[in-house]
Amino acid sequence: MPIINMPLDLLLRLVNAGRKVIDESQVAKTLDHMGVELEELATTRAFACTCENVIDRTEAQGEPLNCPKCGCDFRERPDRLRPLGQNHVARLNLLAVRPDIFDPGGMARYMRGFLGVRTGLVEYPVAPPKLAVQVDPCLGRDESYRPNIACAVLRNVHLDNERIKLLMNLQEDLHWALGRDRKLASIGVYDLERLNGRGPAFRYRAVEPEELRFVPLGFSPADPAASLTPRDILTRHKTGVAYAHLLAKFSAYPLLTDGDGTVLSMPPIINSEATRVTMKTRQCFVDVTGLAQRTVDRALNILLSGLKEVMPELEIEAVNIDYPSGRLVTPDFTPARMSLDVQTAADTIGVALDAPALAALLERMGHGVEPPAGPRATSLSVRVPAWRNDVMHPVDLIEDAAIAFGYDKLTPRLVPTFTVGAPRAIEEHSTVARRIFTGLGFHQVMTLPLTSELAAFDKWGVPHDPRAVQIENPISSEQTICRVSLLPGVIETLAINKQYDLPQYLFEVGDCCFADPAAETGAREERYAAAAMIGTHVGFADIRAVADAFAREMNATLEFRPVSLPGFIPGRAASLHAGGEQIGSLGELHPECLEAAGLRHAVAVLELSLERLVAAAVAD
Amino acid sequence: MHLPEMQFNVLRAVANAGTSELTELARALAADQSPVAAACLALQDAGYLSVRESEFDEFRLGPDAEPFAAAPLPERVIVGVLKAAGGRCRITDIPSHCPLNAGQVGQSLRLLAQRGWARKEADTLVLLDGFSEAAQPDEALIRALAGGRVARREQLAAQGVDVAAAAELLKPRKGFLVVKGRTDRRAELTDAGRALLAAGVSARRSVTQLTPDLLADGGWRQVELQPYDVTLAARTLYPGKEHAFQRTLEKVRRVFLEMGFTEIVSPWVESSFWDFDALFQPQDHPARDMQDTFYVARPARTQLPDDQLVERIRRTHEDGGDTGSTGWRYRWSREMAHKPVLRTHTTAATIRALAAHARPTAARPLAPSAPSPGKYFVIGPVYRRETVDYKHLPVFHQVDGIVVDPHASLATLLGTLAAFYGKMGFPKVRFRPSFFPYTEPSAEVFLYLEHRQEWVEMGGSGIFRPEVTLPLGIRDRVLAWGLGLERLAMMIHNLKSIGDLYFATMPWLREAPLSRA
Repeated sequence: MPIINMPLDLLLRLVNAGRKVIDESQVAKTLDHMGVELEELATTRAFACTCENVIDRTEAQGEPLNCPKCGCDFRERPDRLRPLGQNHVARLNLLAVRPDIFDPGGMARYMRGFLGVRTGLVEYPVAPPKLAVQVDPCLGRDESYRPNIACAVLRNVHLDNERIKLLMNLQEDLHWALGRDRKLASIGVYDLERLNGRGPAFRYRAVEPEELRFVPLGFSPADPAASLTPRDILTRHKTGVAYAHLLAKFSAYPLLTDGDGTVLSMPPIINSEATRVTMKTRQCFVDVTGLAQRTVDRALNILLSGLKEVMPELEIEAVNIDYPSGRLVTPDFTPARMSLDVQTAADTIGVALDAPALAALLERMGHGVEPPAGPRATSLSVRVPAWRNDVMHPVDLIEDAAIAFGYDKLTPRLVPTFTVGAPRAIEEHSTVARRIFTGLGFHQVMTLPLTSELAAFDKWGVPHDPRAVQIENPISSEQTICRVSLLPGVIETLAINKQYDLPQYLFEVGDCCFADPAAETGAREERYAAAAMIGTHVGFADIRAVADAFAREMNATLEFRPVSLPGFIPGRAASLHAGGEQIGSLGELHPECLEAAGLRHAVAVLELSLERLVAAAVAD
Repeated sequence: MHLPEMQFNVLRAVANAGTSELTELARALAADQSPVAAACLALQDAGYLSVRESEFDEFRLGPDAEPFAAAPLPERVIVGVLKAAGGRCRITDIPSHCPLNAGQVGQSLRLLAQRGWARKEADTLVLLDGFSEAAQPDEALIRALAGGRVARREQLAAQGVDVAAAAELLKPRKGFLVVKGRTDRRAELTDAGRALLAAGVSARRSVTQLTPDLLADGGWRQVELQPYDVTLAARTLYPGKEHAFQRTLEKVRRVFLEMGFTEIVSPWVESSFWDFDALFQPQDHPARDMQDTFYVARPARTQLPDDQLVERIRRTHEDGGDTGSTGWRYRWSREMAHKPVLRTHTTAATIRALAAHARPTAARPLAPSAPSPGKYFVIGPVYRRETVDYKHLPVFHQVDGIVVDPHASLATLLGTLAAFYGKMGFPKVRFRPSFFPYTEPSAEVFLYLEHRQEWVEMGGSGIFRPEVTLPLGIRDRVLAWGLGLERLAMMIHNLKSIGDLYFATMPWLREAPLSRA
């Protein structure tokens, strides 16, 4: 999960709003109670690049080497880096489910309610739309699928370094949490004064890869070579190349223009240089495009409500979105209405709560609650903020109430219901198996259930087992299959212990996994037991004696048949049979195997299916 | 009166010889010194002997002195040369008149000056009047100890050697004289010893091993069972052992069985359906990425449960179905649900158990809408696409548990987990609000480690969302948790790296104490 730096001065200023409610020393505990994972409280230094990007660095990180936005290398161009001073920050683990609280504005709103400074639903005024966006039906088709858009106009905008950084961070966090790295939603913010905001409707349409040219963000408009086609952007622009996979399967690309055809952006890839937001910007146009209206609406609501908290002077103006199917007005801050059963909430949390008490808890979490008829009211009518992306069911309101109530104020107790426990039989048999081996002086090892064909088969000259489960996307060449035998792991353990006293007697009791078309998921586990002995005088007779003892104690009868097995010395291997089927094998390892493992003493091994041995024993 | 054989022999020998030195006593008894010394000590403890100890020095020649037992010291040779040369000689000329080389001559100059025999004047050595032909004490000592003789101070003095002067003279010459401090032990009969001998005493054989023969014929009655030094260290033994992690897993298992839970299992290779979809994880959830989850190429496809259940899950994802939820509002793909993964959590097992719990059985013939309460737990490996480091492996163990109960609440969830960790030996447990996709409310569990004085996160817990339980036909609330076990085991067994569990060394396997689980 990404970690974000929440500027504490700004946060506390917004929460306290002139009063003294909370200071820095109380932040850690409060965040903990709010369910926010605080990594640390730290001091960061802020740096500005000449591209207006602001970079926050902790003491440990030191000065930045390059600008993540424009790519400028500060080692070569130290003149482009400007220190902005120190910040106290709370380093927070960003939670995907609550993107509405990972900007100072949203977090301040949550904390204010939680601490009781200002509870209930916050309402943000929205001016009626003057602008419209016309959505081309092509966007809903397979060749260019990014059908949804939500927009807003921001007036009376005043930006400084801190606010630009805030805007960027909020965009980035939303791209991660809601947008799945721009796939589901991507956000653009533009200088409206560089566009024709009074003329015909803006257009959200799809264009052919070579249909037109525009100067993407980061390129100089003065440079004639900087004017690129959408295809050029995907193959030549840094950001374009990084996100090209999002458009890879389409033949036409989304494009947002004003009524005169000036390009705002090519979602979800890049904005145009012409519409870039600077500190001089006074009016903005904001768009979120994506694959579902719900997602783009939420992203827009979170962005706007967060900005409005930090910039109270901001005026939000709606935009008409003209879909072929009809008109939508965004942003839409209408809260969702939910009914919450008081008793269910109290029972779920496990405390006595009446309607007014529950209502007070929910108001502290930022919900609007219709005043309940009285303590005996059985349900509450709740208005859920339009920037909450995680409230899908009344149970989500119950969690909010529980957090407001305080987990540390709950009295832990047990359910009063009596139940009878029961172990699994194979686990009990495994306990017996381990007891036998330890009684014989063996030490148990536990080895990884993941292995590779190299370590499991090739190393020992054993043919590949077609029943091995194969991983489609292994993370390392050492773990590509599930084990079908415990022995390679046990022998490897001997190998890592060759400098220690001999003899060494090891065993493992564990599951092996086999692809099996008859199994529901196409594979099944089987419990195995394996043992290995190494020493100057170790031989077949020793492991045979162990096998005999094991079978005797498990109340099973083992039959030994001479067999020729790869990996074993010819004439010193036997297959094990019980209940009429082969259940395992034992013998002395071939010197080639010992060489492969780097072992310098004789090794005798045994492996059998514990499950089959037990079945045979029961059958007896 | 009986005495052990050796003690009897010693007592009698001392009585016959009067005062006896212990080495001589051993020689006289034709026995090793240590049993003789032990017998003397025992007799002294019993009051029959007194052993007097006195320190003495023992002298013998070092390896460098031996040649001079027969030949004169270099100083003596140089004096001869000087005398022949009329009392003085250039130092550089001396080697040409004697067997000494220039180095030996040089080394002798200081010694000659010390004795007052010769003095160096510029490049010439001059014979002095102090020179004496008489053998000096060091020369006398060398001669007295010739041939490897070992002698005490008083023996040498008796021969007329001034030992102190000789030792002083030889001090600058390394490897000439070896002096060792020794102890003289002399045993003497006490009055009690004399009385014992007068009263009559006989020997009894002393044995170390109590043999079957001694037991069979009662011979043990006639022998002395030799006492041992019971404080001595013995050789190191290790019993065969269950692996330390196994012991922790067993303890976890036992605790849940004690708390009335039924043990369950689920396959390692799991369908995306049970691993994710049944837990209301949307199909585009990042946890389902190839980045984080191991997908399985063989087998290529899993079966799905009955169509009715699959349909209920589909509707729950898409629009909430009958659960009262909004759902995720996307088009759910049945094909994705077929895709096999290595299970990413043991919650796959508890969710299967929950589905089975809702189905009436012969043992539980209740209507599916009102199944009886139930408690289930599972312990097993889970798989995540993690890069290996000291605290991560692509496989680790979890314990997942669920409680289906009309009394299930956040308070009883915290109580159940606190009871579990209390039984595991961690009485201080704390819960923090958290967010998980399939539980609501959710809590993270922290344990307080006394020795590290810090809280450590152990895993997640919560109450299953209605979107999870209702499609399965479960109407009661269900408490659920998934807790990591490697971290717990590393805390219990004081391990620094998770790899220590899976790539174990013999010393650790042998030494990790069984009492620790």
